[in-house]
Amino acid sequence: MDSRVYAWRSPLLHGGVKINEKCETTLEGLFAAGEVTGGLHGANRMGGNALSETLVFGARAGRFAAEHAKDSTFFEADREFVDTEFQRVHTFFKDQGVHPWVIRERLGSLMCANLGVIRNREGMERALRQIEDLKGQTEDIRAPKFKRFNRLWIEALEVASMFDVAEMVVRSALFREESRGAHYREEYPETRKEWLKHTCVRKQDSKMDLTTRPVVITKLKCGHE
Amino acid sequence: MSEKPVVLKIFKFDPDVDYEPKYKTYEVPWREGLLLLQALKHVRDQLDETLAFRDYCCGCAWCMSCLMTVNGKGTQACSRILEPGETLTVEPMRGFPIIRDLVVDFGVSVWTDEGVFKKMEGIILKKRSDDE
Repeated sequence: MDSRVYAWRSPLLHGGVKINEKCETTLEGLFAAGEVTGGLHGANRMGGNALSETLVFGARAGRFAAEHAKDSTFFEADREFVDTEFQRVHTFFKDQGVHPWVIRERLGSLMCANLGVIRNREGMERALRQIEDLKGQTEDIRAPKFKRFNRLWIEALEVASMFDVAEMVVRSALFREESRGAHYREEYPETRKEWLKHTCVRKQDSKMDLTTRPVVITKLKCGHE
Repeated sequence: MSEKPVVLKIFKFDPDVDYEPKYKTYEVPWREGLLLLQALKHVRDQLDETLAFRDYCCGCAWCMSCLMTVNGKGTQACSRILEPGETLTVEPMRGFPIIRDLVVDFGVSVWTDEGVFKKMEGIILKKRSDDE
């Protein structure tokens, strides 16, 4: 997606797009709600807790998006960007190549092997290299040439975006030199007070910028506070 | 020990290309507990990549997204267990406009609103009198 959209990344796969209280992302006019957003549950998230993300923020996103739509006009589309994107999505239509799920499965298993329950620097750096290698195979991904309900084409587009998400997960997990919640680092088994902060990843051109943000603590206190 | 494969006679139709629907026959190796949805996935992954069906589903007969017509009867593909050597005719759910192959537009019901039926374009499999 657009490089201007920030992403929160908490340790495991609890990250998501960074939103404010109005569900606005850093891209004007783009609202997000539900499991695609992050930062609400801290270092770990119990099953079923997406309820607050979907119901509460779903309602808020709808309300604020409607308010925003009331007094906003359409943006002028960046013609060049549209053309490039149009070209890109059509590159998958070809006769020879690999099916997108082959790449998807490889990406899945490398993430599972190296960024599972116990993580270490060696494994994560290996994962980064393997993601880079797999990315090189994006050109080979193929989908049959038709546009009506083309599941393989959708999958091809998704796989291409998954590389960015996978890289964000690895880079932020490498960045956090402690263990917290569902993130366990072999080299840093203890939770450190100075790491009580959010990791923020932003893709700028082809580079990932990592920054931190303070955690806002409300009713529930943190264990080492 | 090899059991007889399952034979699926599947409805194929792409409104962009085809003048009329056709049926294609595929053989899927049988195994214990094989579900129709898994058999369709096997066809798509191994035999015919163009086959379209809805597989974004719960897999436990709740969400109805894999609802289709099997041997003339509305069935959830994820809950239909296949027997060895069985021959099935698989068609899209009757009464809904066809998007492609087994995928229909569930957003438009022809049974509830006759006006919609008139306005609708494309092919719809009609309910037969002998269906339940």
